[in-house]
Amino acid sequence: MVAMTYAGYVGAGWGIALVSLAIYALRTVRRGRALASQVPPEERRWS
Amino acid sequence: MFRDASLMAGKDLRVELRSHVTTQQVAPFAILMLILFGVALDPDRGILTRASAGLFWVSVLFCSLLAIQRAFTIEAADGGRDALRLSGLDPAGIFLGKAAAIFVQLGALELVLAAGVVVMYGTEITGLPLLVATCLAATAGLAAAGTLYGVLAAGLRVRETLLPILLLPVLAPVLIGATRAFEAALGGAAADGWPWCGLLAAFALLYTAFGTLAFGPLLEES
Amino acid sequence: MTAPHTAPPGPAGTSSRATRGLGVLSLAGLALLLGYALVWSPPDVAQKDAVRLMYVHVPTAILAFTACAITTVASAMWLRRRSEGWWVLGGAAAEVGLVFTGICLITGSIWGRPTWGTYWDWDPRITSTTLLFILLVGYLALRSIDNEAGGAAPRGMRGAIVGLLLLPNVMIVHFSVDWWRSLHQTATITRLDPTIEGTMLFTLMLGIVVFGLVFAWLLIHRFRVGWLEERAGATGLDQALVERRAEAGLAAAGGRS
Repeated sequence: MVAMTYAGYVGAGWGIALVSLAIYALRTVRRGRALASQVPPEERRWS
Repeated sequence: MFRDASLMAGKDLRVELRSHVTTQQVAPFAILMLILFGVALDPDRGILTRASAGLFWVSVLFCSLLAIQRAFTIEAADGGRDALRLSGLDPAGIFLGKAAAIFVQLGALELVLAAGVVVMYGTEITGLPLLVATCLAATAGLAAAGTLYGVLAAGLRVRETLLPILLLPVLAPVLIGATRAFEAALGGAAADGWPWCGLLAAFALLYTAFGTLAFGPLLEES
Repeated sequence: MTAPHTAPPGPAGTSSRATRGLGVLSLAGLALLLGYALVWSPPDVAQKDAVRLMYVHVPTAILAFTACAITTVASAMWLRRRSEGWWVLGGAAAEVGLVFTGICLITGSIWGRPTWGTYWDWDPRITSTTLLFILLVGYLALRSIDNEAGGAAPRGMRGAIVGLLLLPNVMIVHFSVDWWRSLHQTATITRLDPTIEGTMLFTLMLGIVVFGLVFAWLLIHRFRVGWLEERAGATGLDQALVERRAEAGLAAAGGRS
C-alpha cells in the first residue's frame, strides 16, 4: 500500500470500529443460541 | 385540574414548611457548591467572576436533583403514592402541582445562590429583566422536566443514581440557554440573550405539556 | 414431574435465511468499502488520509440517530398497542444504537487528533453525540430495572415514556449545542467538506449503505434475542410455578401421611 499519512490513526480507528462490531455481533448471536434452547419452537418462528 | 394542582402544590409546600428540608439541607448545599467552586478555581484570578453564570446554573442543576428526589421521597414513605391514586386527584393536576412546588423551591434556592454569587464571586448585576426572565423560564423547564423524570425514577431502588444520568442530559439545553442568557445580561449585551430565553420558554412549555399528558398513564394501575 | 426442555426443533438461534443473506451481503459490502475507504479513494487536500476515518464516522453517526428514531417510534407504538414486539424493538434499537454511537465517538476522537491536534474539541457534534451516548445508557438502565415487574407504573411504562422522549431530547440537545458552538465560529477544518465529490462522495455513500446493512443485521438479531428473553422469562415463570405446585403437592401428601 502507498505510504499513508496518519496510517496509525486510520488503522486504529477502523480497527476499533470493526472489532467492536464483530464482538457485539458474536455476543448477540451467542446469546441467541443460548436462549433458543430454552424456548419452545412455536415461539421462534423465523427461519 | 388547576384546583387539584393547587391542592397538590399546597400540600408539598406545607410539607416543606414543616420539615424545612429545603432550607436546612438543600440551601446549605447550594452555598457549599459555591464555596467548593471557589476553592477549586483560584479566586484571585478572576475566573470566578467571569464564570459566575455557568457556576450559578451548575449549582442550580445539582440542587434541583436534590429537590426532585426529595419531592418524590415524601410520597414514597407511608404509602403516599397509593393514597395519591385513591384520592381521585386528576393526574395532570398532580403533575402541575408537584412541578409548581418544585418551581417555588428552586426559585428560592436561586435567590440564595444569586446572593452568594454576588457576594462571593463579585458579580455585578446588570440586565436584570433578562436575568429574571431567564430564571423564570429555566426554572419552569427544570421543574417540569424534573417532575416528569422524577416520577419515572421514583419508587425504584436505584433512583439516586439513575435520576441524574437520566435527567441531566435532558437538561443540558437548559444549562446552555440559561448560561448564555446570563452571560449576555451580565456582559451588558442583553439583546443577545433574549433568544436563549426564548429557547428556555419553549423547553418549559414542551415539558409542561408533555408531563401533563404523561402523568396519567404513569400513575395508572399496572 | 416436569420434563426439562430438550433441544427442540426449529431455528437453533436467531439466524434465518434472511439474516444469513443479509450477513453475507454486509460482509461483502464491508470488504468493498474497505477497499474504497483505505485504498481506492484519494486523500483529502486538507485532512490528508485522516478523511478515511470519516467513512466510518459519518455512517455510524447517521445510524445512531436512526436508532434513536426507531426507539422513539417503537415506544410510541408500544404506548398505543402495548404489544411486546414494540417493547423489544425499542430496546434492541437502543442497544445497537449505543454500539454505533460509541464507535462514532471513538472514530471522531481519533480523527480529531491529526486534524485538530486534539482528541476532544468542543465541536457541537462530538458534544451532542456524547450526550446522546449518555441518554442511551440511561434509557437502557431504566429499561433493565423496569423489566422487573412491580412498582407503581405498569411494567414498561417508564421505559416507554423515556423512549418516546429520546428522539426529541436528542434533537433539542443537538440544536442547543449547535447554536451555542456556532457563536464561537473559528476557522476549523469541518468534518466533511460539503463540496465533496467524486470517489470520496461515492465511498461515503457506500459507507452509509454498508453500515446500514450491518445495522439492520445487528438489529434483527438483537430483536430476536430480546424476543427470546421475553419468552424465556415467561416460560421460566410457568416452569417455576409448575415445579412449585408439584413441590407443594408432595409436601401436602408427605404431611398427611
